[in-house]
Amino acid sequence: MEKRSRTPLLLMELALALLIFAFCAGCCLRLFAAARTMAEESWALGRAASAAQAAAECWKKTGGDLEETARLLSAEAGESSLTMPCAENGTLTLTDAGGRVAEIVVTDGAGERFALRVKAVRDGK
Amino acid sequence: MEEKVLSAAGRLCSLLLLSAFAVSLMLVLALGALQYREISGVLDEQYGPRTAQSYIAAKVRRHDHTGGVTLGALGGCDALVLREEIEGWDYVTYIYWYDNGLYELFCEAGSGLLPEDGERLLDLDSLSFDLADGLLRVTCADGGERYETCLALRAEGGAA
Repeated sequence: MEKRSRTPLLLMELALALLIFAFCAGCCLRLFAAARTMAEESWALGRAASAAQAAAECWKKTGGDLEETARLLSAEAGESSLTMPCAENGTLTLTDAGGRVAEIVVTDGAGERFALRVKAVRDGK
Repeated sequence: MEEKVLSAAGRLCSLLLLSAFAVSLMLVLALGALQYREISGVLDEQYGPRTAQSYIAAKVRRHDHTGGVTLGALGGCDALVLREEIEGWDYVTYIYWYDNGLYELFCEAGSGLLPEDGERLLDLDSLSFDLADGLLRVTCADGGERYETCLALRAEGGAA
């Protein structure tokens, strides 16, 4: 009786295992990339929120005075808004919406990163 | 003879395939470890300044009353001085930067304690305060990154 070689079967099994491993490795690498992206997004969001908060505090301190707010933030003041750079490649825009209300938007290369609305209150009004 | 050659070739292929499997496994593990290290670095970089700013903001809001928030010094270190009265006694909380770290010292006013008597909260490369016209600017740096935040004091009497 001829003794059949088992090498082809072994090779097939190893090739199949390698294929499955390659598929799993691909999934893992994709997860690693996503995790890194999420960490960087979180960092950028934190910086944007911090910058927006600082601008909001200045707005509240000046009682809704755009020029004075621009002076405190060392920003360029326009007719109804001011802009200033923040974080990495980011821009903060504060727009006077009237009634001592301001809309603050932080944008960067990925678009709008963070936005908030703030009202300067005086004597409870 | 020919059978032996074929058998050896088969074994060599098996060995090569197994080696490829092992090398791929090591590469994925190394890449995973590298990614984890980078992500940890990003998170560690954020932790110090963001935590410090949140902590200082919460403390300032807690003491935002007339004369409650001022700038001072503790043993030669510039400090944020937060005053409060507890059961008729004046107490002071000093928040300052000392020995590459954020420190807090809660004590009775005029106790004469030194910066090293405070409690180290976290590591920071630098921390500075600026108080003018009721606006407190807190600037901290860690790992080459500079972070600044502003806090508007609602009470009167806040000054350097």
